[in-house]
Amino acid sequence: MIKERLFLAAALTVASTFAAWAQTVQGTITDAASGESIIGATVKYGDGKGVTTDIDGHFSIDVKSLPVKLNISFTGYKSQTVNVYDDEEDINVKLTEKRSYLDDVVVVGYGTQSRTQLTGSVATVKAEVFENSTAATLDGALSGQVAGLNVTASSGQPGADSNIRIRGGNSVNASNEPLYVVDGFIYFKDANGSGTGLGAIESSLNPLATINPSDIESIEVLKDVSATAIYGSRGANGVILITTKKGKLGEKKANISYGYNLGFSNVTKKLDLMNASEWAQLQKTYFGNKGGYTNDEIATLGKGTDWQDEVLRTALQQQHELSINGGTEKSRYAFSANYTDQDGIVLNSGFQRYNFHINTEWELQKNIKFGVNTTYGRSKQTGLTTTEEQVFNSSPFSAGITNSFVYALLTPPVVPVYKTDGSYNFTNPYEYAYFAIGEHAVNAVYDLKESVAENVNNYLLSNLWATYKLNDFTLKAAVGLNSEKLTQNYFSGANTSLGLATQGIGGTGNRQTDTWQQEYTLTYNKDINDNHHVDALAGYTKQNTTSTYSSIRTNHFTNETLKQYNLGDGANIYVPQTGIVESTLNSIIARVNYTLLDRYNATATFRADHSSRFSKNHRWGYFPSLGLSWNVDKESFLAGARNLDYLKVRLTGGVVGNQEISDYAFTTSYSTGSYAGSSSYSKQNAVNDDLKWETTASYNFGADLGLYGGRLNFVLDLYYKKTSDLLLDVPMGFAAGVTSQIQNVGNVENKGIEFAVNGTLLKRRHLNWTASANIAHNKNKITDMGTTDNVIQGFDSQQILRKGEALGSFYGLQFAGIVQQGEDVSKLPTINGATPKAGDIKYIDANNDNKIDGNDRQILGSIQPKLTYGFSTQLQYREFDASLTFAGSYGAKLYNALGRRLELTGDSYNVLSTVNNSWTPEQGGNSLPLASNTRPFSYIDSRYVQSASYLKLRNLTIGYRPRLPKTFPVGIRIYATATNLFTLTPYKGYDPEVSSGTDSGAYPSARTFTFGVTFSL
Amino acid sequence: MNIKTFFTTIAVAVALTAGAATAQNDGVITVKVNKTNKTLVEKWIEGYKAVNPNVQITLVSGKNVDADLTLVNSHQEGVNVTYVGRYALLPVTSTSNPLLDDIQKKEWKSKDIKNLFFTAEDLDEEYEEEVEGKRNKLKDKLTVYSGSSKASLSGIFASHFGRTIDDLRGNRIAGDDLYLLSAIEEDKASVTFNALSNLYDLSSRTLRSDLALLPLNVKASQREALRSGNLDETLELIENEDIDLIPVEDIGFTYNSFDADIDQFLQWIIRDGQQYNHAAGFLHLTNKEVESQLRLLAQNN
Repeated sequence: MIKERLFLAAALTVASTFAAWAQTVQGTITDAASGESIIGATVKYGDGKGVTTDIDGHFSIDVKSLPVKLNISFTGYKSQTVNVYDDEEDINVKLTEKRSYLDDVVVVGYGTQSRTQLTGSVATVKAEVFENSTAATLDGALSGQVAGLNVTASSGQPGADSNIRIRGGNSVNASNEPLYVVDGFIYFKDANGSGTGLGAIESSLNPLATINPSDIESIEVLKDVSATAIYGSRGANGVILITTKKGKLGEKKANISYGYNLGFSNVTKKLDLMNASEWAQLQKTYFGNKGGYTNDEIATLGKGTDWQDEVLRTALQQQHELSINGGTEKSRYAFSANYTDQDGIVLNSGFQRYNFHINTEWELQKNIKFGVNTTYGRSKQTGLTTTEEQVFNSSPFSAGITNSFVYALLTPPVVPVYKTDGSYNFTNPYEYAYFAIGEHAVNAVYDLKESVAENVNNYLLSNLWATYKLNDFTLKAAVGLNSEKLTQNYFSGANTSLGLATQGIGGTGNRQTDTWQQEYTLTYNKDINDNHHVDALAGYTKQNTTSTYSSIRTNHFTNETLKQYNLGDGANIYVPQTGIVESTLNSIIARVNYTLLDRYNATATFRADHSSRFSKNHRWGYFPSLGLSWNVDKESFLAGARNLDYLKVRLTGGVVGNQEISDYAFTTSYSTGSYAGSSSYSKQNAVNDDLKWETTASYNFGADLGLYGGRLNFVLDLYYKKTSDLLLDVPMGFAAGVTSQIQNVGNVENKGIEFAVNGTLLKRRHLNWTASANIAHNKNKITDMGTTDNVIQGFDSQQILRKGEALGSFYGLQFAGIVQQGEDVSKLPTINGATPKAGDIKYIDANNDNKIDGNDRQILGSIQPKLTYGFSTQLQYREFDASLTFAGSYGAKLYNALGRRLELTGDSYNVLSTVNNSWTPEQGGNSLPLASNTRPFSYIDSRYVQSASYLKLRNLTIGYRPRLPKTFPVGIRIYATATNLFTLTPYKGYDPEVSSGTDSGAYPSARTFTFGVTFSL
Repeated sequence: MNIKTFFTTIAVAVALTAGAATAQNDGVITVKVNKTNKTLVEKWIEGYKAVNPNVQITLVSGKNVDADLTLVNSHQEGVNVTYVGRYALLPVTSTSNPLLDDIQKKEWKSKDIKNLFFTAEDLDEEYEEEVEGKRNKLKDKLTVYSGSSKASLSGIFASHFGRTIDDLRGNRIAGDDLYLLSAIEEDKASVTFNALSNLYDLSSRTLRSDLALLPLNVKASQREALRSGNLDETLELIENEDIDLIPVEDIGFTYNSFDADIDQFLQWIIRDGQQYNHAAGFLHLTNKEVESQLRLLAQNN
């Protein structure tokens, strides 16, 4: 009985407690734009503590009575107050993101961070940039988007790579490419991984071709040391973090879209070559008239064969894109499939790719998440064969005949492509130097059409991860594999330039590269008293790479039908090339972010790397950094500042490294070959027990300013970087047994300033116009070269490494004009012991010794631009949208080796029509000497080190989304895009963008027009 | 009573309650309706029972309650709806609003209403220049109240002016739109909008004494009808004339299942029940709508 009474009393107490909280208000908080649930939003009323939304964005709060005023808030969103009058329906509150730039969440190495808490210099490129671009690879769309990030295409070959430099180049022989991290997987183009040992293929596949730009959600460019130090030995050249699209939980079960575009390309610029009449006249006047033309015949020759036109074409391209994404409360998925087929503007060249990508995520239990990101695909690049490997007849490559395209430009216009019966013409009486045997000569059109130069890459990039959340701690484990199989195919038949001497040559090679990555991290994230925020990370990562390769070549074919698929037909077999390289990197990482009062931020980062690429005593490298930032706008003295949205200053410093040299560079190695019918070994590398990291100490001061509610944003950065212990290929003496060796020698410094601005110019209901611009200046200088100063580089000795000068400096004679008739030559410096005469070339006598020789060579500029800049704008008006992107560079120089070759007169090859302005006694002239088939020096001169400044309209897109009835199930967008619509440049070659700095006949760039449609369900 | 008995009792009670809630009683039509529309539906049920005394129709409410018929206040995609009436929305403030004089001095055009109720940055540029000064000051001082529930008419109001519910300025309430009028009573310097059924006293047929309509920029004769404060004149005006500034939308019933009882009830509302619409502050269906809705019901059979 007593028990029953006690129980009733307790029940009454509980009941009265519940009665005090009379009602329960329930609801869901979602993102107004995406419709996704917001997890962790705070819902409270009065002075109560409040509740937070769960993983579904759902909340339930007990209130004493209705009505009640609920306050809903979440970081990065505008707070909202909702007066609740009844509970007949669940409350559905949509929060709108704050538009402040500083409220963005930024992906940083091994995590994310609010921009307001960031101390480093991090630029974000959003998905719209890639959606508006029809570029097949992301580097094509990145150009001009980020201050201090300079993209230079290696050539116009479809699928070719680009040089990307973040704040200039740091290194000479180690890589200057930034590190790429794709959804957490570190992805680097291995210095060893570019070929199979086959040679003869001019272009290499862009390593970024494995990423479909349409899959990208955002790209973060980490520029300063506070941001990159977490990547330690691989952060010196900056880091590009690529985040792919994830499935979204929205109103629809699945978002499905399919896009197709079709386009055509043609060359942006043609070189003005001599026509048949002009060339025949040149031959008759200066070179013995091998063709025996009379003046009447010359007059009737007219244009003759335009070999440039014959090898260039209007190329078609098409792209299919399917994307499906969606999610439930417990899982998300994003799938895409892409097929790209792009013909090149040079005959028989192009790029094809198919690519599948899937990004999935499951919430297995309340605190456990699991995800898989996988990309699989195949890229195929068909390009030009190069003569680089051909060493017969004093090397056509060193004579400027670098590939079949260049050979077409050089073929005399009096030589036809086809014979009268329609078959190929293999007769060219003017060719006797390189590509003719007897009366049988090479035909460049046949050469391009029938030769094979293919790179085929089958790739898989897969990363599995799982997280376990325990209170403020999150454990993460990730394991990933990047497996790539590169196949190179090469064939040049007996009638082609490369196969002529050997009655055909062909080969095939494979390289299998597998990179495994393990990553284990523990993060701690805690807000303490609303005044302190701590975000700490500790972890261990390991990456090991194994690369095996093999290639075989044969020559002297009796049947070319199956080309490289019947190498057994080749009578002679070259020494097979096989090999294996392995490397391992073990790393310990740690980072602490601390924010006080939402105003003062500090980031301390440390990474220790153990790399197999260095000698045993120097394998550990330690890379610390410290970053500080101050949100000045949060201070009381700026509380009244009208129109100030945010103001932040940043200061960072630290050390990062570079390990991107070939494996085993620290030890002795030998290469195999064949000698007198037996195998032979030759020393390839000499031991260097002191080989260690190249380190870059870096300092950055930056400021971020936002005005007018985020409608106008500025970012300013000043930096200084000093790279020490340069990994330099140092020439060695005979005693070493090798010609050169990688050593840690010298220093390079980069200092610069970057400025970026973006703004919303107009925002109306039916009109939205935004624009952004950036400009960067970088000064690069070698400050120390040890004892190896003045290292001359390049096949024309055109570049030099010299203390006090920039990396990539050009070195040659300074052109001073042409000696004119009647000019006093007595005071002119002698050339090769002779006094110049009228029509001869003049050079500056730099050392004033009254004679011109190699000692008069000077620095003629460098490949380093003084300024890089970009401008882009997007406009949306009702159903129409338009975007425009300009990119530019100022102050860089480019060696126009092709131009130099095409102004060298002789009796074999065609020349530029500028040769018509060569000096003659009758017409004078002050740019080219009297026509002659010899040069006074092999050194280059300043005429061919030309300005590579340019302004390009990279992309112009106009789109239209027809307004359809609501009941119509499909959304449609049609668009037209023009790429490289125009280029303003003083450069005299095809295109000023040649990443190597030497234009020896690079594949010309194309102007592309694309028309497309996207359907979305 | 021991503990075992106590829990057994609770379990039995819960089971009985649940059973009662889910049981389907033949011949009973359940109708789910919110507060704004409740009076109208009650009048229909009363009228229908007068001619069909044996039928049982019950009103239900609550977030997790299913009903045979649910009243919706907008056009619905992908579900069967029988439209049974129309309503109109008018912008309104409290007579206690300290800015009432400023509000009533103006004749509110479409652009003025957009400027007041929606986010300003989306206005046409020329209009921003036009409204500089006094009008913007008025906007800054007034808080807009709108609804956030699924049944709220805020979405209808926003879409009438070419906007979305997310573009509405100011504060949101949760609960029936009727409570928007409570909100502007509490926060005097505020405006909202509401259905005529909530704005007018259905007994006296006049505008509620604590409310003042925003004067609309309409024809003089139309202005007079609105100014009169008389519900019937207002209903007649909106039914007979197309006024751009006044959003008008259909209400209708969605149904879980369709049977003869429901068919007869809906047919009766469309044919005979329209006579009760004005009494509850709602507009009649147009003749075209009557025909089309009856035709659709016939197709359901």
